[in-house]
Amino acid sequence: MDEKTPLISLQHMDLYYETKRGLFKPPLRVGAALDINLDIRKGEVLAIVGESGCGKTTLGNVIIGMLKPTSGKLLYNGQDVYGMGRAAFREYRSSVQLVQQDSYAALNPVKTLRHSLCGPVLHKKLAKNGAEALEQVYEALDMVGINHEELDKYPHELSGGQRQRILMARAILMRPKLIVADEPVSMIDVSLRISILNLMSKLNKTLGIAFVYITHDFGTARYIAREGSIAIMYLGKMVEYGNVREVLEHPAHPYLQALLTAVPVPDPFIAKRKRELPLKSIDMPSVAAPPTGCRFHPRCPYAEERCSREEPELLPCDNGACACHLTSRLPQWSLRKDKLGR
Amino acid sequence: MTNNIVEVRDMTVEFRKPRGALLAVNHVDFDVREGCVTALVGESGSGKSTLAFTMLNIVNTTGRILSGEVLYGGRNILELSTEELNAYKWKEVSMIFQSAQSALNPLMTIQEHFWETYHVHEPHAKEEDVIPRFRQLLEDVRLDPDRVLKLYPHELSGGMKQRVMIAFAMLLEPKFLILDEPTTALDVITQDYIFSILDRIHQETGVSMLLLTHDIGVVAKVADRIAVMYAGRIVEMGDIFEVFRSTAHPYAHALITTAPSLLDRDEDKEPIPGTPPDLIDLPAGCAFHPRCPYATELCRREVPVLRTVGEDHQAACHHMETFRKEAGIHG
Repeated sequence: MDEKTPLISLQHMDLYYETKRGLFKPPLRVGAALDINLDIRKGEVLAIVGESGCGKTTLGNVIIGMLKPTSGKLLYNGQDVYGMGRAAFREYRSSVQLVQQDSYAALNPVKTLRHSLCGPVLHKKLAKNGAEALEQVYEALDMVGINHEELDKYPHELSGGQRQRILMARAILMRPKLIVADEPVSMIDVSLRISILNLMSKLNKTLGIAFVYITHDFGTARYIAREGSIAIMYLGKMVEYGNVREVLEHPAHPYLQALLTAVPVPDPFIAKRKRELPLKSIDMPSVAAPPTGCRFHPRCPYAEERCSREEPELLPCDNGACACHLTSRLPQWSLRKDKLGR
Repeated sequence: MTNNIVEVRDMTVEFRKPRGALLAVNHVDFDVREGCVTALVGESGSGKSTLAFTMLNIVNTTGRILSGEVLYGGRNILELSTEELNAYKWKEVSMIFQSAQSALNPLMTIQEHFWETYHVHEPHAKEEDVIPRFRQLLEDVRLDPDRVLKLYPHELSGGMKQRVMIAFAMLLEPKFLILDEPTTALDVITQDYIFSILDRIHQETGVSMLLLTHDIGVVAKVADRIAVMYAGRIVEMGDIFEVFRSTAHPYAHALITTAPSLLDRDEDKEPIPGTPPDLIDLPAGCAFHPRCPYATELCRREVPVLRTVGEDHQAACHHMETFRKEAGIHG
């Protein structure tokens, strides 16, 4: 396996959810993530951003192997995850870890943290005995900045920020190559968010762990993935992909332009400037009955007849890749111009 | 001369917990300017919701108001009889709660909601006479009245429900509207839209607003004035531009500057050290001192009081001069 092989690769991945509608009706198929092509390189930070219902969490769950794609491929180090042997699959499962939004729900409330942290190490036979496992746990706690004494506490005795650190510790104990963090800071206090984001950066830099940061918040996505990439999702499709700085400064897709216009910046001198949202409609269509053609066309101010007929593909453009028929013809849009007026 | 629509004086609210007394609001003086949008900012547990609840005298039953008064039109709200208080709610002051989802009765249509509340306040009114008003209110929040009036809450999306709640809150033409995290669970485009509707209502009716939130971006966008709460006290308040330009309290400064922004330069941010305090066992002196790099013996001993630092700007910090000098902020 050479160095260029991506750690994780999704190829034409579709994931449909099926809902039963009764005995005689066919089940309702909802395309939660469709035709996703995405590479995650070793040690990379990738932010997946979108509004609720866009399929970002579904995509995260496919990457960690909790959901099996309906069609298409998930490759780990170039090998098909669902065609590999048992040992290789187990290695993949421990190399790709998940940190969830609700840190309280992710820990067993009736077990101490000692149990929650040492258990997986022993189960995966990463340590020979309890003493060795404990040593590894201490090391992980030092890494995430939690006192060793906290180990005999129960999850409810810790603050949200501390619990989120414990989840990070539990993830790194598996010596992962990739951590998928699904909205890890949206439930913790504002003053503690930066410290959790800084911790993720530290784990990325010192241990070389790649991160997939799933969020709806552009501010934190830009902060954590400063040198990495960003993928924007809309109604189950990836609409734009590229380098964070470039994509956010010069977004190519009209949907992303509208989203960025709506994001308030924490500066009254800038935020109070009046501007119209470049959108025809506020309401998002249902993902169960998506519009034909380009899924954004009913809300898009630039939409043409072709957009309602043909679905655009994610194609390379100046700043990465964008799924829009009109990319080359849209007016120039810049974040700085929108926010600062220059 | 600007008037205050509500004045809270020396407010203290205590919650009895098995571990001891929790001071959610601690001797707070707070004014809401008439015709302004005031933002009350703080993290969870800072006491902002409890402070807002005192303005309607609806503090949860485990909580007790130990001291203080809420003045509205020269009267103390806390001394009103039940009938007087009921007349005051909705007509003078109304509140939009955090989760619009649970604020609506799932068994009633939107029209029934409107009529029920209207009928209680105006027992002699006839339903067919006020339906045009219901329709107008829904149109004001850009909802289609023909459709929405007949719907049940579960048939509406989150953003639509929040818009129904705004229309509902304006039903009896209140002079003061309290919004408790009105867009927290909503997507950014919906959030932007809701604030544009609120802004228009504010421009047209002149209703005073109090917005409770922890989102600094939202505050910067919509508020005229800001008050920052920490551990049950107001640590800084004033005109939004003043407070952002010449912040005087280290906590307020950290809260404003650590919020990740799209326009940030690519540099690491320093988190606020430590964790929010235990409200049952508050640190002595200034509650922020264990997390404050400027803290001295004085901070550990004495609670700082709000001092005037600008034309419409107050802050409670013993060392604001030192802090501003070191942080390069001009007063």
